[in-house]
Amino acid sequence: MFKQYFKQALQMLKENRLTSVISILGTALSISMILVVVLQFQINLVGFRPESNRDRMLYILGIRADSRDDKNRNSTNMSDGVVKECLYPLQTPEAVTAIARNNAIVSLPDRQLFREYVIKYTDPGFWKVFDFRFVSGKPFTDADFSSGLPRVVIANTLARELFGSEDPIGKDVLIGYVPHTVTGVVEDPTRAAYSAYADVWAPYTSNANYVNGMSCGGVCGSFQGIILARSTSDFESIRTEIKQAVSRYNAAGREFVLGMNFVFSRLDLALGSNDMNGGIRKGWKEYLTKTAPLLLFLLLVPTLNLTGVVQSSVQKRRSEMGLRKAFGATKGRLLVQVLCENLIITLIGGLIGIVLSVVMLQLGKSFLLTKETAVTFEMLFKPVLFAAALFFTLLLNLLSAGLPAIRIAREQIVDALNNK
Amino acid sequence: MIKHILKIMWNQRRSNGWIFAELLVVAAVLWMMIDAFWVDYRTYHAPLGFDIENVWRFKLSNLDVKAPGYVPDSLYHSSDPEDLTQLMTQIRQNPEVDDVCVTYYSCPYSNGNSWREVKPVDGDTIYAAHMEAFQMRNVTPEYFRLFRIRTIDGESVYDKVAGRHNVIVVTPEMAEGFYHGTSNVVGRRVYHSNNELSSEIAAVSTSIRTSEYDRPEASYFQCMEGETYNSTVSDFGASNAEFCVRMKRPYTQNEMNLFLDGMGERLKVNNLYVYGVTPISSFREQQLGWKARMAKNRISLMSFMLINVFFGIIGTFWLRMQNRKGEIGLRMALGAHRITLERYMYAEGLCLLALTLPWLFFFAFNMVYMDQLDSYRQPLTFVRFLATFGFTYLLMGAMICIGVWFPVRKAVRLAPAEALHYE
Repeated sequence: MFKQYFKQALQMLKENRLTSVISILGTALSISMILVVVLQFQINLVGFRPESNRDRMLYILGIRADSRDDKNRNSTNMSDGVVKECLYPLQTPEAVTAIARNNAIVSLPDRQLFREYVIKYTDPGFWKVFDFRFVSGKPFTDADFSSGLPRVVIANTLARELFGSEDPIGKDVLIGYVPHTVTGVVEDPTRAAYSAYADVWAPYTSNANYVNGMSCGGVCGSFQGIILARSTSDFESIRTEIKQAVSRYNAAGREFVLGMNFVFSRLDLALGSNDMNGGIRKGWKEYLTKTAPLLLFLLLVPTLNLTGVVQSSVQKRRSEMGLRKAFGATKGRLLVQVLCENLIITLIGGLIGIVLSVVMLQLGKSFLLTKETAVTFEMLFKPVLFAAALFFTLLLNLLSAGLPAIRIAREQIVDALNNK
Repeated sequence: MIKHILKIMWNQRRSNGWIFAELLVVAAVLWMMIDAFWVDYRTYHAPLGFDIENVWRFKLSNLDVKAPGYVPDSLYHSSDPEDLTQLMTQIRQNPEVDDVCVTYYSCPYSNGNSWREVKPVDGDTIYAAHMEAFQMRNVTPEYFRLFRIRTIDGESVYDKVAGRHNVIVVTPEMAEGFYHGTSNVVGRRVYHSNNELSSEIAAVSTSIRTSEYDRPEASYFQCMEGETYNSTVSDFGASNAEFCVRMKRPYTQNEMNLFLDGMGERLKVNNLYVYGVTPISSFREQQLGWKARMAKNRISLMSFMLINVFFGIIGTFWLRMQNRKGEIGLRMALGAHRITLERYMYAEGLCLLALTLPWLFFFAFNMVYMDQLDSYRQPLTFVRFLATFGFTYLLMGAMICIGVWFPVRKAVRLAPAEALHYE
């Protein structure tokens, strides 16, 4: 039966080439616009190197530090003291890391340069949470970290710029006039990997500004925390453990009370949660109320187009439908037939749409993401993309062919046969 | 002819209905977007109040304890304000440099800003109480010269404030709010810091906008000179200053790096040193980037809608042409000219579009009533509606004409005999 529909649909495609092309292109355009929205969400959500394990990551993007007399409230980041007492002692996670982002000029001992690079001050745990690919050398060690030695890992583009090679292990770079020894060179991370991204990574203990922070009683600092859980099922126990650590920290009776209100998962972040100005957790509901109108609009306009076309082509075949009905075809069957035939068009459109969306994302990334974001194959081709494409294609099909199909299925046999 | 067309359209209502609904939706959304563009465009092209050409921001930092040349506390006999002044002097001496100034969170396109409660000593205190806090720009007097800020009368603000302690410069919006059009604003005083201190108004500048996309707001400049300078620099730290330098000619980033390299030791005063340089225009790009992205998103959505209108019109008119080949053939056989026929088709398409107009008026009226249009940055004027409506219909009309042209061309090429064959 479905084979028959398939043949019929192909025949109709050939019969009216222009309208078929238009329907397919219209569908493709609509699906691709929708998929661009989906892809942006996907790039925020799913993992890719060096953030391959995003599904198991938890993020502490900010803290609260309120003075005991409640006169002074701060939304800020963790100090190294908080990191040491609340983050490092956690038992449940596989690895934890604290990261402070800054910009720095990287110079050579014999040549003063003025270009700024992104530098992340972090710890050895960073290399366990993220899976960087080392081109040469290795990360700075626990020993480097605990003695605060000026060591750096640099990205390979920077290595080429500075040294003309990707193997400058053991050579020195100047950061703020202080010589740092290069221990490793990694493959450039994409900017879409915001937490891991930098040009230079150094142990934070090597920079006096990041150690023994005394801002608001030693609570406020510049660190964000990222936790790699062994599995997603550990999330709740990790959150509980953090809560206990925080109350232990506050038991010391400091001038400011530490609050960690939010420990976000990657999904929370992709849905738009953030920790600015006190922080807010956003779920599917908030995300959809923001995005659904756009998606609906992107579906609605081509639906109106397609309905007109389907309506006309169905109208042409009224006598055929009437005949089938006269010989006992049920309403449901005719309905399915029209929908199935139309599905061929929308599916072809959907397939083209997937290709088009990837092209559009590449062309338009300067205004959808940031200009420098490299969009890789790994980020795009995930099951989510195809599932979304299929879902919206079916939806578009149902919306555009549904009404004409119902109308024709309901028609009186006599009228249809008479072609009134 | 119109009546005839309307009748034909009514008879074709089944297929026309869908395309009409599409035109309706697209017209409404397109108009909203074009209106938003209008507001952005008009706002963008209004005067900004300052000029950032050839201005660079030098980034300052303090030497790390481990760095060679670090001056330990025991040998340090200076202070933050002194070091900063010294650095300004050293850089200003370079013949390539036009001017140097220092601000705190007040440089154009700065990521920070400061606000302070002020109220006039003799003026409308109700306005001040209502506004509570105003944006305050902490600047050295050279700021006005460097960014080419002038008074309302076109005079140089710098000349009015140079060398004077504890004075402020207000924007016309603030002057208007406080004194409601009184002419002698200069010389009056305002309270600040919980009404304990007061400053004199030394000048009224032109309107200053935060960026190209903002409306001018009431704000004022706190001139840092003498004690104000010392206390502000000590409070915020010399290395946090926004150190702006105007060069005498345009430089590329590379030329600028070379320039800094040539300055050598003059970029350093005790532990304070210049570590990098960025043109103010790149801060501007960072700050306005999202707006540009939004505009591009809007344009892509608009093209999406227009392409769909094009597809819809082609599809509908093509199928109709197929169904009406008989009619067309008959007309041609009876002597209708090709051009007359074409005209009919175009008229039909445009009539369909014209019918959306009353609905769009209704929609626009509702949008105004519900305050959904941006009337804060640009007033709702007749010209605004005329321009936005005109542009909307021009775009859609063009799309429809292209859409009709394609099927029509095929249909009228039909030989009358062949066309009649369908009848």
